[in-house]
Amino acid sequence: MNLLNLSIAQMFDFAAPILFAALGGVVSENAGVVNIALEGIMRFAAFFGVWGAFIGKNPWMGLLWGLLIGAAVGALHGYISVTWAGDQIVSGVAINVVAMGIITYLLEFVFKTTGYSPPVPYFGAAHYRVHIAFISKIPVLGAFSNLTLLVWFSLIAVGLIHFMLYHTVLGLRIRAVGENPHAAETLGVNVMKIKWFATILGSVLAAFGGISLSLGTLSSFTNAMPMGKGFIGLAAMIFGKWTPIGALLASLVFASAQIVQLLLQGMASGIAKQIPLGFYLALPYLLTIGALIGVVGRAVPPASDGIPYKKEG
Amino acid sequence: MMAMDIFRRIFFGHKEEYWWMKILVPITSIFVALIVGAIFIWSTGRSPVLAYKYLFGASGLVPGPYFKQHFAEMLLSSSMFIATGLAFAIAAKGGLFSIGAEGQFLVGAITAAYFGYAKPFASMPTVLHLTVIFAMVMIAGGIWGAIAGWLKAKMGIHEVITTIMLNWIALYLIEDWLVTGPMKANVETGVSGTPYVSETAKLPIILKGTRLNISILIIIVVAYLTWFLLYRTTFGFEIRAMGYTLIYNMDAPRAAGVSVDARITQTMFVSGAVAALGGAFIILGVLFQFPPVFEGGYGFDGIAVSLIGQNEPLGVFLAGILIGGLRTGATAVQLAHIPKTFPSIIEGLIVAFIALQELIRYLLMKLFVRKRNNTVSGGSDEKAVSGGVAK
Amino acid sequence: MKALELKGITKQFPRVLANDHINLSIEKGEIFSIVGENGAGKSTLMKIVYGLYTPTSGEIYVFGKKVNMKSPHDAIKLKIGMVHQEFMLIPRFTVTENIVLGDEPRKGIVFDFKRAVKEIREISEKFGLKVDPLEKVANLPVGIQQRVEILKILRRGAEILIFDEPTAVLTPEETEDLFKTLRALKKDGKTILFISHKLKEVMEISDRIAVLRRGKLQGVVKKEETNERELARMMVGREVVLEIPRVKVERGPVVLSVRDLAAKDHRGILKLKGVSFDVHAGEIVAIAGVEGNGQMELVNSLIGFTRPVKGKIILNGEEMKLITPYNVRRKGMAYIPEDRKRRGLVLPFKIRENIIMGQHTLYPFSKGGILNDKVINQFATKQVEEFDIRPRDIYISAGNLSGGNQQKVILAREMAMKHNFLLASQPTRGLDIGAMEFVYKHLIEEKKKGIAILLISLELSEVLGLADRILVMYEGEIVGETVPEKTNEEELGMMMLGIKRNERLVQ
Repeated sequence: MNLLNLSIAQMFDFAAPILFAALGGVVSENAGVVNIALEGIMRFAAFFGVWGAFIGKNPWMGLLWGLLIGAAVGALHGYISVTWAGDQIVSGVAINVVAMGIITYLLEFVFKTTGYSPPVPYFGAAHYRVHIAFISKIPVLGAFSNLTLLVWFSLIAVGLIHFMLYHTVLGLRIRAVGENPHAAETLGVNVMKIKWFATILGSVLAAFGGISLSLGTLSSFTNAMPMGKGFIGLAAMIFGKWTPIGALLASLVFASAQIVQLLLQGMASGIAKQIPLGFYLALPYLLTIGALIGVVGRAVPPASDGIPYKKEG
Repeated sequence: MMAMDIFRRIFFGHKEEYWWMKILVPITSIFVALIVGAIFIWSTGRSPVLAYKYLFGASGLVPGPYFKQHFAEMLLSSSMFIATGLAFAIAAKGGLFSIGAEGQFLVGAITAAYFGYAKPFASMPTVLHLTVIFAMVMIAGGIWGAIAGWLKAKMGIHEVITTIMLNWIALYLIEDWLVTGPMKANVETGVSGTPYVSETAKLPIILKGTRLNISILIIIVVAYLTWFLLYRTTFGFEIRAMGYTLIYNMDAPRAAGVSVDARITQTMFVSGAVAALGGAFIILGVLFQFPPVFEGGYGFDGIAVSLIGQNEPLGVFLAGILIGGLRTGATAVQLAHIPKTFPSIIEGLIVAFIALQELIRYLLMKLFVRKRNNTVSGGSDEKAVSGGVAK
Repeated sequence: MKALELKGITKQFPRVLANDHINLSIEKGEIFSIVGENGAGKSTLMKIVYGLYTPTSGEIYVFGKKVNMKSPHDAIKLKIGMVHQEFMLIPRFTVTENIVLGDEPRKGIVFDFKRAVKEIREISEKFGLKVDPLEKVANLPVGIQQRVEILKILRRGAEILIFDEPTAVLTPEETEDLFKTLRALKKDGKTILFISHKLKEVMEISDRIAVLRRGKLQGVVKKEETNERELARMMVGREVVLEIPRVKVERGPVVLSVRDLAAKDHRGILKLKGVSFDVHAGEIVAIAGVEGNGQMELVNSLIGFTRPVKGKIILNGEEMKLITPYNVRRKGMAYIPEDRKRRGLVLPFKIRENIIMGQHTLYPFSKGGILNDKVINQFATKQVEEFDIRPRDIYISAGNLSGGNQQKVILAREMAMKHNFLLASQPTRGLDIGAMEFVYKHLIEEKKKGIAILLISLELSEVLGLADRILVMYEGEIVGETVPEKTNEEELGMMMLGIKRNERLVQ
């Protein structure tokens, strides 16, 4: 494949974890539940995915494990934030802190290492990829000729979530709950149930993100994962104005920053070589801040986003 | 009971309803977390009793073998946790969720390293040298924090994301540019990372035979100053008003004339400056240079410390001691065949239970308070604000 | 046939007994009103009837059958509908989405928007309540929003309709429209529960009236057998006539001068379109108008929350170029906010902290940035005494005070600051008669001291009672100026709707 197609394919690869996290945020925040813990959930899922793949000797097991742990952690966040109307940010931070420690511990406990796990069967292996041979020579389209299942799913998920939120009854209720839960309550909508559902679904999506990090193009877990991708996903959600399609575009923008970094680093010539590595590595994060500055004032979250919902009386 | 009253008056200034709630919630959380931790250990086939014996025995919190060493190490690491904890607390009191202590810590560290080894300063007498270093450290950390503050004040960008991004930016700019570039130690010296700081930059030891230096004394003073700032100054008054009216967009303080925007930036500056102190402590008291690979985490732990300490200066101090103790005991816990990351799991659990405050308050209330007429729906006054009021 | 019967309904909150063994029986097809002061328990009672609250004890019978409602879902199934005091609408959604939420026409899991729109058009026809199904609720005026609320409950087949303070946000005209609708619904056999504290309206529309006072039922009377005075007495327990004494004060020089002021709201829409007026020392200028006609933008411009797009504000002879709350207060303005919970107080702060907010940077409350607790406590204690704030504890959080006492804290705070101009924005909103009297008394004291007062109010009786001059705002402009002696509620109502315009009085 030529460089252009390769770069585009890589961009979708990089975008997938961010996109999943962003979609997770979109679902959950449209119901009014802020989930800072997406980062921690990605970490859990990334590790458990590798663990599952290791035990089951195939990536599908890993996928299952990752999703289950994602749902479980999401349920914890839901319990704190929804059932007990706790502070959603504190809950998220708590989960992230626990994730840091527990996963490091488990990495050592299960794989006896502190850096990265041994390689496991993963979705990036040739026989798990989706081969579309006939377009592989075409510029741009050719980028899609050899993507992983996870990347494809991230794109499909955008469509699914969009459909759910804007064309189904459930989606209408989710958005209503996120805007004015009291109004929804007075109409007999079960606000708690909806918030729970959105939290779990959002967490599962984030789990997909974590899995796509460790079982996507890489085939092992690194202790630094997810390296802020969960937060970049949140930024993508904001940048995308809390819509699935917006999240997709935003994630592609952020992913392309990483591509630019690699390309520039790879270039042998002059100025690009002079710029220290640190600037390249910092670029995606700088870009995120830039993007947030860019949407100032124009990105409005759901009206009751982040406000704990307490049923009266 | 007079003593209780005095205690109450000193730390809360006045009678406050259910003030003991503020203390009980973290204590209960810690207790429950330790129990859950014990269950966790037991489920992996090891002995919880042994684990805790080693953990606390080596923590410096309770007398045990080599107590002097452990005590010193405990205070040494506690001072860093207290620094990042205070940073989070200050921001939190002002209604800001700053996750930036990690990055500000690094900024403080590299600043301390630089002004510790850089030529014109290296030959200053200790007192002057340290003063200069600390001043620069606080300014640098303050600026790093103020960036996020300014973005929030002027552009409304939520500080959770900006501070996290700034953490990563600081990390990469420092580790992959400054330390490998302009601040790299001369290859001939055989040192990797930055050059070592001069003798006059090293923090004076206060307990002979240990590494314990004045950092703990400094942080005690800083903790007191934080309390003073928050509760006895107009600045603190204003940011607390802002913190309480967070969900109302800080309208009430604004309408009363408080310059909310300026305060947001200033609060983040102070927060960053304090976090940076922690970075200075580790460089000038433990590592004496900025190494090529820096083991972080103090920033995030600061958040846990502050949450456990209920975002109050005294609480942060005590929680910092606890976490410092847990970390110090961490190496010993390996004797019970438990990885040294175990204490950080306990920490996370404690925080998780703190997040479940409502649940814990509810249970404690049921336990302690007789129902019906003399109850209030929650613990401290903040909670009494919501909940059923007849229309 | 009894539509609704309540037996011994009691609701206990942690600090308050909101409903105390209330027994009511309401006939089908009647318009039954429930009146009482703020805090009497009317809203609570209705929320119980609608399933939002569960009663601590007591029984409810709907059309003869005993029921046990756990949520509004149950109430809706029993054909009970409620139009809340604060509309339960989602501004971002369309009229259709708001109405069908919770009972959406669907094709499987898909939301059938087209069919929903059709349904809305149909019931809009049927009940004679015109709405645009595709309009976003945020863009609708309040009167239409209320129609949406009514259609919501009619669509679900409500037979018992509860209206909680429905006229609080309506103009006299819109109120008449609502009453027409209510009478039509009554003819249709619907039962209507009408909650209000506006006795005049209650006397106009009701068949029977129940009076609640401090959670207890005082009595149920037929409209023909009572009058406003009687109802007021039952509500408050003593002879109450809210007479505002007319005080004549010699008007002084101009304190505030506004010229051609225009401003946008927080969504960027131009709401204040160029107003000019003066306020003199020792006079109360009242701005009347329906909520949403630019008053908020005027207040925000004066206090510095919004930057006006054009115009001048001149305070004490000085043109205020860049207004912040801080500098406008230093120049002599005091402000009683319309929303005491959001803008007026920091609820978790104690009384002593709230009462000095705004002056806390001044000597003697602080010096060099450090607060002087002793002086603060002394001041707070004095103010609490003088303004009769209950309980007399300066360490109580403002959030634990009643609405009236909260407002007193704000008054105490603002009056103590050095000022010669007072901006009072809906100062009696949500207060009971006793608290309202207190506020009026203090406003008049201020007037006697020569303070220039700009009063923004939605209550015409208040406007007519307090003002020396009245300015009516409609759609961001001043459409009329008059004095209380020369006008009445009807005329003001018409000006508030833009139907009539007055020439400006020659100064």
